Amino acid sequence: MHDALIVAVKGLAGGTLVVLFALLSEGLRPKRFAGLFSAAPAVALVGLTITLLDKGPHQAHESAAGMIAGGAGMVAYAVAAVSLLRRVRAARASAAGLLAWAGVSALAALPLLA
Amino acid sequence: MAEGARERSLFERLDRRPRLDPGLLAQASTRDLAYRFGAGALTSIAAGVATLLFGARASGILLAFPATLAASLTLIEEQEDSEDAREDARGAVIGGAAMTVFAAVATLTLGHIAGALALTIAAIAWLAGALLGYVTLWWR
Repeated sequence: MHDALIVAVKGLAGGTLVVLFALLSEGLRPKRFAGLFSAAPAVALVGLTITLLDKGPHQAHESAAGMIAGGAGMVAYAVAAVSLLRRVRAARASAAGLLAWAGVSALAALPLLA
Repeated sequence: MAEGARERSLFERLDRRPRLDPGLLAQASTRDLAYRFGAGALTSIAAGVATLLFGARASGILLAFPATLAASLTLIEEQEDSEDAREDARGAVIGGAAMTVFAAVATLTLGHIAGALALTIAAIAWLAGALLGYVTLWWR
């Protein structure tokens, strides 16, 4: 029950912070500058904060370490999206970009999870 | 696709000084914000569930899942055009690199200094890295 509540709180807080960053990004120009905030660590800030409060610093440290791999994947996703958007619609580019995220994150995670 | 956006000249698409236009904030639709809320909420929930199933380090990968960027690209393409979506993605390359800096700083500081301070420093590192990257590559 406690774990389910924590996950629910993470969901609500994560969604809220993402909306706040999205609003900021909407108001920024040029679009390339706004894009910085499309990759803001909103979910991570929420997740790590709640993990800190609920489980303590060690588990938050572990989550942050795993996030390094995901961050490498995020760069790969964005690079793939820039290239793919020249040829296909955003929905298809996003889906294909997720493969790049997964592949690079998995590779980067190997030394972190060993 | 917006006709006005297609007719914009290359000169107008060249890097302009960053600015915040509060008037644009009012144009964000409820549907778009709900879409982004859903993306953020689902990612956070997935990361939380993954922690329970696989442990903190493995689930930490999902803290950098590009759900919000994916949602933004689709919405930008709908409202503006593919070139604007590409511009957003270009910025996200630097934002994503800065996100890795955030994770590294958080890893180095969590457990060694107060948690709130660690996350604050990590967030500042993200912002500084993102701005430095933008200025280095694209400031005119």
